[in-house]
Amino acid sequence: MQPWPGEVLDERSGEIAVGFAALLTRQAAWRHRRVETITVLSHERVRRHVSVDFTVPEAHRAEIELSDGQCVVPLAYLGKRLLVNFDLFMEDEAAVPLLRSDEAQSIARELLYVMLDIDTEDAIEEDIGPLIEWILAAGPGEEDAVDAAVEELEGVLGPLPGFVALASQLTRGFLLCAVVSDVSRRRVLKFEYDQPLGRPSRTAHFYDTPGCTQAASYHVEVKVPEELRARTTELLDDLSGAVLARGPRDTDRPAIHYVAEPDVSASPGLSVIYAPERSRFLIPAALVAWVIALGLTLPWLFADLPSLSGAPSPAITILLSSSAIFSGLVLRSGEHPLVRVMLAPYRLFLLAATVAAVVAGGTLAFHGSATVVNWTWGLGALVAVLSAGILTFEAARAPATAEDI
Amino acid sequence: MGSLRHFFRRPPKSRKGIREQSAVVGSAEIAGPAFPRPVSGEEARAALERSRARRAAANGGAA
Repeated sequence: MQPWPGEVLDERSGEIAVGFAALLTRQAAWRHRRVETITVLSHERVRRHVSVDFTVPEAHRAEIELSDGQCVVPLAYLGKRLLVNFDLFMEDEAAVPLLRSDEAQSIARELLYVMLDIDTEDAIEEDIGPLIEWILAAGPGEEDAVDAAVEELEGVLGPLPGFVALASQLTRGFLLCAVVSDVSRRRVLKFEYDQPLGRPSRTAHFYDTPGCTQAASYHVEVKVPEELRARTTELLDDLSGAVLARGPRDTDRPAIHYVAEPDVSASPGLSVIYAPERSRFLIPAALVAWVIALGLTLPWLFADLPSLSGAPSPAITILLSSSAIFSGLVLRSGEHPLVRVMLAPYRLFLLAATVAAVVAGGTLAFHGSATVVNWTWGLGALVAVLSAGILTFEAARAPATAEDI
Repeated sequence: MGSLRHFFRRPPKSRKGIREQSAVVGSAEIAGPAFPRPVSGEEARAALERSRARRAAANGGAA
């Protein structure tokens, strides 16, 4: 039976750490391209698909070999928290084995020792060992304490830039290491997982993109739900507000290409503003609202409404036509959850206009007094006109669908 | 009131801090360490050997 990986890892972890030190300190040199696709599943959750296109330099292939041609490739740093629906694939969608976090720790431990020794040769094992174990085992909430201990060590030994940088990230995360059978050629590995939104939002989403500096070329795109458009898509640095790259306006598949500066110190993220397409809901809704508004306003202005009180024909016509049109626009099944949330306020305006028509028709059907009929129709007309106006304004500034452009 | 703010919204003048104003989707990934310089394989191997020698000596001393 092949002794993989537990028995081999102890023996090979030092050599693999040597390869990792060379690879991780020049990520853009061997990771050619990184592509992220963000699929909006709902107003509360997205799925992020990441593909990493890389070639392990020949000089480091033997170093990262685990056994019998199987190599350990560091793909990313993952935060120390629960992953939801995580999958790792190769080019043909076949599943790829990955090291468990405790297995990756044995390599990370050696890597910390290597980086420390590169920074200083004055470290003493008895003092350093417990700190390195703490870094590897640190859980959420311990980051500041570990950072302080590392800073204290730096105060004793002098500047430790490589060790401090690595320790900071290994306190907060662990190395995602794939076990790949053939690294003699260019490979593409893919991983994906679900992420929740910090808080539900209708229009403005911000997707953290820490991976944008981890490859020579970075490409990110968003799969926008049907009936929505991305009004603006910007890759920006939240700390400075600088826009690093800008995507096309009003598109259903915005894409951004960005070539990262390897030494950039920033908080990069993708800011996307969504909006509903004009012609799917807003224009029909505005038209219906105007029909209702005219149906209420014109009789209120020009008809003798009190004389119609008790006559069922106009009241029933208004009630039935309003309800039928309203139902057709509002009660739609199979709608994307984000679309449903985004259209909710517009549906409320349509509901207000419809209710105004129904109440106005009701005053006639139930023999309302002249005063009640006049006031109800006047207020109903006002509500319907306001609703129609707002829906028209929103339709006018909403993005067009692809076929309208 | 949220809806009214939406209808009267204006594009922000600056993108600075826009993360706070948006629904944030964190990444399972964290940024890679900002290493000060590239490290060569030879340099890393030499460091590993020195470190292991020191660790072995410390363990021997402890034993």
